[in-house]
Amino acid sequence: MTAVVDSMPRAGFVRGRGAVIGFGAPLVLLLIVAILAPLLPLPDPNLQDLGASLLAPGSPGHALGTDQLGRDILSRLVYGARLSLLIGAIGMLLGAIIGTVLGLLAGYYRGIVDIIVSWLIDAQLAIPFVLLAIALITSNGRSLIVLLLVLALFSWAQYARVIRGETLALRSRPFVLALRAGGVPGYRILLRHLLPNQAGTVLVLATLQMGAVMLAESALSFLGLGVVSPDISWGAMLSEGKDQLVYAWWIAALPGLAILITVLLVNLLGDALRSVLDPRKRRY
Amino acid sequence: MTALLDIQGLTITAATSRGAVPLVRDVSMSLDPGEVLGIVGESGSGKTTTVRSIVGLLDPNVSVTSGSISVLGRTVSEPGREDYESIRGRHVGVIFQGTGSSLDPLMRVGKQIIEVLRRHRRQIPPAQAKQTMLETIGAMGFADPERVARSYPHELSGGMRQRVSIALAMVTRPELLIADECTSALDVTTQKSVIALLSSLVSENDMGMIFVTHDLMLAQELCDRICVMRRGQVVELGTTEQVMESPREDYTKALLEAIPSW
Amino acid sequence: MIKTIVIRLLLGIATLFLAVTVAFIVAHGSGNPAAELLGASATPERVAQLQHELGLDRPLYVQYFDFIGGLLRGDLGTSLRYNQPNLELIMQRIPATFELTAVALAIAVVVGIPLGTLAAVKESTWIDRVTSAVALFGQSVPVFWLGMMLILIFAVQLGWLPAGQRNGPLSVVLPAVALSTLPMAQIARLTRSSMAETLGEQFIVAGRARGLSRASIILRHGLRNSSIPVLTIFGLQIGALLSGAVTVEYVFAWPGLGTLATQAIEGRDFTLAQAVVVVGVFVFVIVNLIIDVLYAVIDPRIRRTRA
Repeated sequence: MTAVVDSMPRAGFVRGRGAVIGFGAPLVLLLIVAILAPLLPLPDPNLQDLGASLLAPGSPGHALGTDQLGRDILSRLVYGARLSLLIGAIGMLLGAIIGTVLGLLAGYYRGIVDIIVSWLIDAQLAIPFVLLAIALITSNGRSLIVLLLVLALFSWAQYARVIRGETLALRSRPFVLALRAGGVPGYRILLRHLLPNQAGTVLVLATLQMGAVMLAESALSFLGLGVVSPDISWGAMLSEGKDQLVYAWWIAALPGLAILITVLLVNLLGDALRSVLDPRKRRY
Repeated sequence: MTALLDIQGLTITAATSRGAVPLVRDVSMSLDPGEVLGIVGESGSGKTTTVRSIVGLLDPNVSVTSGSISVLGRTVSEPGREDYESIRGRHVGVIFQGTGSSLDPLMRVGKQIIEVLRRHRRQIPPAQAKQTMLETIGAMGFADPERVARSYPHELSGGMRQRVSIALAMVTRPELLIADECTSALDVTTQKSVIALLSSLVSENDMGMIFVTHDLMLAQELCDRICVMRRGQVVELGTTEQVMESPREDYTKALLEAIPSW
Repeated sequence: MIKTIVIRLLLGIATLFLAVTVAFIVAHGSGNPAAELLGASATPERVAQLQHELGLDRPLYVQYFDFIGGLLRGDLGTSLRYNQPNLELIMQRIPATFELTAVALAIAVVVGIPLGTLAAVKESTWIDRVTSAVALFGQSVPVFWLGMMLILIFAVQLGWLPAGQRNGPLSVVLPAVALSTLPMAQIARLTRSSMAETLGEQFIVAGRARGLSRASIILRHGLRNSSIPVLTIFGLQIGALLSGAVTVEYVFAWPGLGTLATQAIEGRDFTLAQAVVVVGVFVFVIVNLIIDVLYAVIDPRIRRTRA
């Protein structure tokens, strides 16, 4: 479940600043609601009420229904947003940092560093992340750290590949050659000149990877490898809904819809950012 | 005798975000069999647009807004009506600029020629198709047609690829040949041999040819008549002698003066 | 061309080597598999005893050589839960997973390539937008959730198709459709952009000038010339496809490698988990090698030189 970021132009929807705001605003709203969850008039998401179990959406007192343990779905969705977004963001950040650093190093210093990093990228792509997660869990047990590690491992290679390519191209540009000739140390050139130059690329990649990481987390939680009770994430809700599919479809349908809409918005935001930040790739 | 090609009052306009931009304005010219007409001009003069319109290869936002084009007495283009299917490849052959980028890089050259042949002679049996293909390649001056036919474009030199492009245009024995700056990307020696080839093909087959170029000297070598275009309009049209020796327009005179004399 | 294949083979082996090493470190060499196996209630003595039985108390490099040696012999260890050789267990399940992924890929290609081609030919029309929308959807939807929704609609509500298990030819339809969404999205997008680029090339315009029909130009010249980037991405996405297969198999109770892997979780069967990762990596490397050969078949220029 990787969103492969290719740099080829594609037809798309709305472009430009308007689109960035248009897709970014609902996400910011979601974020605010998630952060403010405890302050909202919602029932305790883990409060069980077996007398009110499996209520359909629209039932009195439970706008989106309840699950098999009588817990309110709407409340669980709102609280679930917190972990889904948080883990998605941290996983994405970890991947971004590792990937960008390795990409810069590989592209700038080339030689053995490049060979090793490229080799690592190839190896990472070869390992299906779900299987890797399973292997990690069986020997290390399930924990938040393991989850974040898997997610970081899952996404770093995308950054590394792209950043490496761009750094390779940039390093032979006149301004970089001048800096090197002037005796400026490598790390400085990377930090002060090359990295800022690619900030736009990193931002676009990060946004698009956020969606991919969220999808990955939901898959892992669904399989019981990620977030588990009493913690709530949309992916974990999906695993609870799986067995109730026939008679209580809303338990699975709603969290999945939440994931779909959020990732959709994130991807659209990423596309819009790409069109704004990189004039070469603008099509309209 | 019907003119091979007859262009009357052709105006071609492009629909851009800034409104309608005329690319070619009220252009007229004609061509008889056995004649070579040169169209000379700088880039942007409209010469390529004009010849492209003969086979209907204009960009989607570009169209003929007035005038007409007829080939072999048949109208192929006038505002609101187009009939390119009947002439493309069969009666008109086009040779493009470059060193053979008009060839599919992933397909053997002989196969590409046969493909065009079969398109226009659907019932032709495979053996005869192959024979015709080899003969056409041979007529391009290749000593070993079999080997050339088996080759991929990247295995041939630039000049060889241009000859193959000519073969692709010639295999259907069209009456009219359009050479759109087809020697511009070649080195001088190869240029000479390609021009010689074109010249002999035209006279042997009694074809008409339009030779588009920015090089007045080349035009003089090859063409019977010359048409000078500037900014979408014809500024000079006459026999080669007339144009080279007693040009009417200042622009033509300036072009002639720009040619280094040895 | 032989030279190219040999080089690719060596590179593939190097990748394979590194990836299985990672698999080893992750499953074998990190954490405390024995403790995980026994659970929280186990005494330290019991854990130590199990560690010794499993050979986990030996130095890491010794275990590693054992592991690699086993791989070369085709021995992927023994499942702790089923007490059978892992390779055997895996081989039993592979046909099911193969069937699922093959059908899913077939759907992705049969739908994705024509869609992408049409979108490129009719740029900026409604077909283009629909293709973009489909591609966007495919990259935003949780595949296993889609599977569940498909079950809900087509199996439960409409009763048209079976909801899971692998019995009868129709049972592969729903899971394969779900699994195909992501590769289809990527194939459609990539075909579109690659084809759009190809259609701008001079030999395409020249083909029109020579009287060839649009359709035959696209089919005979366009597709081949635009297929290379699509193949590349395709190869890179095998890992993602296998991950997707795990979740889809879980939803549909499909008796393949994926369900085997999820069962390994419950029993904390780290040798099985490790073996499945190794197989997954192996499949990836093989598929990419095949693709490398396909490159050379499609593009004669590649047969000559290789950067």
